[in-house]
Amino acid sequence: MLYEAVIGLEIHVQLNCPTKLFCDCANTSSEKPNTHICPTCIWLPGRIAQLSEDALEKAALTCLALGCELSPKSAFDQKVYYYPDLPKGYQLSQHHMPLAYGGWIEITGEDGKLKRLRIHHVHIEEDVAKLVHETEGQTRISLVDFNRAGAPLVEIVTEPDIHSPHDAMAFLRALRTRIRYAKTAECSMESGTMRCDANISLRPAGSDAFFTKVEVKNMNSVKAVGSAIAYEIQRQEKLITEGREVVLHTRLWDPDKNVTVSMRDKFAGPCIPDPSVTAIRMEPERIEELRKQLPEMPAQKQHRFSEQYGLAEEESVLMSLERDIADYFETLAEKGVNARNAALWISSRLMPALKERKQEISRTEMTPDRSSELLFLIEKEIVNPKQAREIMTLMFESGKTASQIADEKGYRQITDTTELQTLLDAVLEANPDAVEKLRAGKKETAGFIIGQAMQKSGGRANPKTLSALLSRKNFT
Amino acid sequence: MNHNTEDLFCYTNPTPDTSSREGRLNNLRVAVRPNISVCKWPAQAGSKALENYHPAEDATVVERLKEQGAQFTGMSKMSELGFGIASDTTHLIVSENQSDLVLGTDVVGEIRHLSIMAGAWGYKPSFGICSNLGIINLVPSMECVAVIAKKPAQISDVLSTISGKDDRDFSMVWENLPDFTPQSGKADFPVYKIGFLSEQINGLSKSERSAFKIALSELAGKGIQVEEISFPDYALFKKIHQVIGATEASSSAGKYDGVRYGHRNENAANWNEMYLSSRQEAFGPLIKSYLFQGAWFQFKNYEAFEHACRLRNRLIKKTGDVFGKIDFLASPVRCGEMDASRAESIPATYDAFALTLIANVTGSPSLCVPGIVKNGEMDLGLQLTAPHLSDVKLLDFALGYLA
Repeated sequence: MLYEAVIGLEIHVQLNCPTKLFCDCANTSSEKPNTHICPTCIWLPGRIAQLSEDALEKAALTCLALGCELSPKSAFDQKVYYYPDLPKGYQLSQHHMPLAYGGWIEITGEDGKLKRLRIHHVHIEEDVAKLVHETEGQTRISLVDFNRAGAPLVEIVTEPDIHSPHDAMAFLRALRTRIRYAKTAECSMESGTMRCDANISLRPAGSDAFFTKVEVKNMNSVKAVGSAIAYEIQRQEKLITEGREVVLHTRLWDPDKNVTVSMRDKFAGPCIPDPSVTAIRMEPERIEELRKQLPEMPAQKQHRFSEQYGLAEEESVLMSLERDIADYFETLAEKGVNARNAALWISSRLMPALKERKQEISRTEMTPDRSSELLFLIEKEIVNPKQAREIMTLMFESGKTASQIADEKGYRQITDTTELQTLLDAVLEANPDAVEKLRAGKKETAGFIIGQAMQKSGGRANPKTLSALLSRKNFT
Repeated sequence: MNHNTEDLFCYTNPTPDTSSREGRLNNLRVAVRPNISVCKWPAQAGSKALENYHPAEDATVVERLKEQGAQFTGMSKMSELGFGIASDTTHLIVSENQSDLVLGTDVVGEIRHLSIMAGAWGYKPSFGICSNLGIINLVPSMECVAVIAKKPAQISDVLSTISGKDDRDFSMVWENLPDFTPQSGKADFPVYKIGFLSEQINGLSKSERSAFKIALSELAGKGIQVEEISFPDYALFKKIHQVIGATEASSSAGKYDGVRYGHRNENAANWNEMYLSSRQEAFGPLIKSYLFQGAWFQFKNYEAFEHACRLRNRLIKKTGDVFGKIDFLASPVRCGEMDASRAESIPATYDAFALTLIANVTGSPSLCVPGIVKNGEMDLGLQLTAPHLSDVKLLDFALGYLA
C-alpha cells in the first residue's frame, strides 16, 4: 500500500518591532540575561498588557503580505500551560478570534506544476522566556532569561495542503520572501526569528482517513525542516508497515544525528478569553491604509519585470526574489543600463562578490551608481567583460570609480580599427602556418589568431572588432 | 464593640498625614483592600500566595485619589484573593470610623455586602470605566473596583476622580464614559421606573419579601413607578458566574507559583514539585476548591465554559431588554438565610451572593443603600442596578430620592 504524507506547518515569526508586544521593553536580544524586562513582561500582579500599536501594524501588514483577510474584530486569550518559561501560567495568544484568516502561497511543485498552499489563519502572540540549563558543581540548575519574554510574534498556521518535504521548504522560502518584502520581520530560522513546527501524518494514498499525527519541532533552517519531515515520513511509514501504532506526541529534530527524537510534552491547556487585554478592531479604512503601505509583492514584481524590461522568466524570478535585489536591479535599469545586462550582472557577478565579502545588497559600498558606471563601460565596449571583473574587485577594495580604475590600469579597450588592423597583420605575419590552415578552410584557427592578437594587446583589443576584421580578409 | 487597629488593618500607613496635595478630596480618609496596589505597601490580597509582594507603583485609582488630597489609612483584612468576605474586616473600618471610604474589588458582590454590613453605601461602577492597572484581580471579566462610603455624595466625588481613561489600561471603555462632574441647574427629575424580577424576589422569605415591598411602596409614594417583571432565566446568573468565574480564576491564579514572591516550599526536589507543594500550601480551602472547579472546566469540560460564555451573552442581551422598559432594577442586597460572612464553600458563597450577581455578569453599575429595606433588625440593603454606563443617572437618582 502506498502512503501519502499530510503536513501542516505552524510558523512563528518574530516581528522586527523596537519594543515588546505588551510593554516598552526593547525587543532585541542581549548578551546579559534579564536586562530588557519590566513588571509587565515578568507579569507582576496588577500589571496590564498594553498592546503595541507598532506590533499590531506589523502583524497586520504581514497578514496582508500573505494575502490573508484581516478580521474586523480579534481578541486575546490566555493560553494556559504551566512551565517555568511562562511565569503567569498562560501565554497571551489569539485562539478564539485570530487577527486574520485565509491567504495562500503559490509554489512550484516537484513536478514543475504550480501549487497553491493555503493558510488557515494568522494570530498574534507573545514569546515566552528562555530557559538555560546548566550545572552548578554536581547540581543541575535551570535559569530563566526574560529578555525574550513578551517579544511580538505572529503564528502562521497552514491548511494541511503540504504533502512533501519539497513543498514544505518551498512554502517556507516563499513565505519568507513575502514577509521580507513587507519588511516586518527578519525571518531567519538560523537566528530564531522564524521558527517552524511541522505536524505530519500519513494516510493511505487516495484515502481521507489519517493515521495519528506527530509534531516535530526544533528545526533551525529551511533545509532542516525538509530533512526532519523526510525522516518523520520514513519513520511513520516503517511503523505502519510493521503494524505498529503511531502515537500522538511531539518530537525534536536532532540536527547532528539527522533524526527526530521523542520529547516529553508540555502541559498544554485550553484558551480562556482575556478581557483585560484590549480587543483589536480593524476598520475597512484602516485596512486600506495598511494595504497602501504594502510594497509590490514578488509575483507582481516578477510579472512587471518581464513585461516592462523584457527579462526572461528565470531572470525576472531572480530579480524579484528579494526586495533589496529588486530595488537594486530597478535602480540600474532606471539609470539606463540595459535591463538584461543588469540582471545578468547582479546574479552572476555582484551577488557572488557580495556573498564572498559578507555584504548586503542594500548596504554594499558597490552602490547602484558605481555599478551602473561600470556597466556603461561594458556596454560601450570601452572595457571587456574580463576587465570589468577585475575592475569590480578593485572598486570593492579602493572606493575609486570604474573609469578611474580603467584609466589607471590602461584597461580601455582598443577599438580603433587602424590600430587593430596593424595588430592583426603582425599576428598573421608571425603565424604563416595558421594562415595556411585558414586558407584550407579550417575556421577554428580564427579563434587562435584572435587569441594571439588579444594576448599581444595585453587583453585590451576589442575581440568583436578583431573578429570582424579577420573575416574581412577573405582567406577562403 | 470597637476593635484595635491591628485587628482591623493588615497594614496601617505609618505616615497618614503626609499628603501635601490640595484637592477636592482633602481630609478624606481612604482604606483599601489589599488587592489594590499602593506603592511599597504589602499587597497580599489575603493570600499566602502573595506573601511579600510589594508593588512598585500605585494603582491608577489610588494615584488619582492621592492627587486630590485623599489620605490613605491602611489596608483591611480581606478574604483570599477577594473572593467572598469570610475573613474581611473591611466593613468594620467604616462602621468604626477608622476611614471614610474603602476601595476594594467586587467579584460576586463583596463590596456591596460589606457596605450594608457597615451601614454605609456601596457602589460597583460600570465595568470598564475605572482603570484596572494595579488591581490584583481574580475574575477579570466580572470583577472591578468598587467603593464603600458613608455618604452618597462621596461616591460621586470619588468616582469622578478615579474613573476615566487611563493610557496604561487599553481594555477600558473608551467611548461614552460617564461624566461624574456635578452639573449645576439640573432639570427636574423625570418620572423614574423601577422594576424587580419576580424570580429573584420569590427566593426571599415571606418577611423579607414584605420588607422589600414596603420599601418599594415608599418609593412609589415619591412618584416612582414600580413594575414587576418576569425573568425566567434568572437562575442562570448564578450558574454562568460560577462556571466563567471559576475558569477565569484558575487561569489568572496560575501566576501564583511562589517563585518571585509568595509562599514557596523550599524543600521540593524539582520545579514541578515546588509548584505543586507551594500552591498546595499557599491557598486556603475556599480558593482551592474554586480553582479546582475552574481547572475542571479548563481541562476536562471546556465545552461547558464555552457554552457558559454564549449563555452569558444571552443574559446580557435579555437584561438589556428589561432595561428597555425600566430605569433601574431593584432587589435587596442580601437575605437573612445565607450569611455571606460565614460562607466558606463555593455553593454557600454563591447562595449568599445570589442577589448581587446580575451586576457582575452583565457589567452593570449597582448601588447599595442602607437603612431602607429592613427585616426586623436586619438591614437587607436596597440594591439598584442600572444599564451599563448609566452610572450618573443612577447616582443622581440616589442623591435625589434616597439620600
